[in-house]
Amino acid sequence: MDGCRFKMNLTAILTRCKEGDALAWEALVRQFQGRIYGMALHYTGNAEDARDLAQEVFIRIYQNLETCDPDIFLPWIIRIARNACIDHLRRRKARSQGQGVDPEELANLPGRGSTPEQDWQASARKRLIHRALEELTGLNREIIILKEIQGLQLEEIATLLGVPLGTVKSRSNRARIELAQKVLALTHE
Amino acid sequence: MNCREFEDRIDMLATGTGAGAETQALSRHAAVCGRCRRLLMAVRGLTEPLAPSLQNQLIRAVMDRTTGPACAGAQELLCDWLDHRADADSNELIALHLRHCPACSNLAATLMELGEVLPELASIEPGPDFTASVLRATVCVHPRRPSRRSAAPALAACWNRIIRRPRFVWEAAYVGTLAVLLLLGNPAIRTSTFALPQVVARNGDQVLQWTGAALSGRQMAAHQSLSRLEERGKSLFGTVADLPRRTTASLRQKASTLIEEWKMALQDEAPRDLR
Repeated sequence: MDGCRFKMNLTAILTRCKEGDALAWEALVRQFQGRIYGMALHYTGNAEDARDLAQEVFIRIYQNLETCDPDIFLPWIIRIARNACIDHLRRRKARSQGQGVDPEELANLPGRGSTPEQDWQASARKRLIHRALEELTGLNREIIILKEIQGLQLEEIATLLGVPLGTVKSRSNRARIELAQKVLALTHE
Repeated sequence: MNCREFEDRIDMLATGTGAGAETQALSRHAAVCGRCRRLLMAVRGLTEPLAPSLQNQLIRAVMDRTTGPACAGAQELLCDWLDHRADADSNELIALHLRHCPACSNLAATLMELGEVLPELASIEPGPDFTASVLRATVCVHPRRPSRRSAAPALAACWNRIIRRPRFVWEAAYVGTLAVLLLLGNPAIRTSTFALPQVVARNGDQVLQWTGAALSGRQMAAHQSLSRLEERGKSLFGTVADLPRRTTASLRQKASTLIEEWKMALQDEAPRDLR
């Protein structure tokens, strides 16, 4: 992922993207594809759906590049991704498809150990955390995804979810506690 | 001094508030009576503490019969404690609770681990061919996108945004009404002008008197203006008589036309007000 990061100013990249520069657009996609795909995977729990959704999100971003503000680019793309994921989940609910974490995809979650064994253990731990995340209630899961994983500010989350800031603050702590309890429960299984 | 008297006055010895002789008597009794000596050490807080297991049992029993377990309160503050947002007193209380509560201690450790691992889940690589598929898809969206931005797409986008607004229909209706009023006039003003004959019909005699007076005044003014104009015209023709013949003939013709137009205008002036 780090190899895909550009050192140019995001504003400059966006300006070039708005002018139709395909090279800049490719760099932008490479920069944010992991984040968008990761977010879609957290929401859907299905690798194939997540890939399709991530592609759809990038098309929406491309179509609306003229309206984006470089200062709030990350919250903006996260908002687009979240809306796409919510739409997708609604459609899937209407089709009554089961929701579950894709074990194959979660097996690819990167570890961070120095040896293969440590790497495998770290990866297993991430899979377990992902499973615990899937078990959270709707709003708590969203707050964890947006705040703890994507790193949005509480004010941005409140705007995005359309709930009062106080609710997000109190829910944020509760969601973390709930996730930790789920992780502990899964660890002892 | 017996043990009963010692128990009654032990607070003086513990706090050092007794008189000298009394304190000496209490001390002498404590030196010879082992039970009272142990009691004095307990009161001074010098006895050995309870075993940890007994302490926990005691605390649990007391909490169960009073406020209930403190874990819920600790968990409410745990995130703030981890994020260094809790105040100093809360920090100390939580640290003390965690030292003696294995469940909350495990929870705190898991929360710390989540704080490190969750940000790493933000980005997951979708695979090597993903970028290419996105680029293919976006090229399909705009196959002939210009390399440099021109004004036409921006204007088209602006127009699209305007017509999609919910108020657009009302604004268009307002602008259309204004255009009709400007081009065709205000029908309300015309209605008030046409209403004049009805007023005349209702108050016929009085209106006729007013109209007659107004007309006679206008006619007199018109005749005076005409006389003055004729005099000026004559003086003008007199002064220009010496000019070359073709020029004076042309000037005279123009002046005659002008005077005739003035006459018609002045004659029409009074009736026009009543139209």
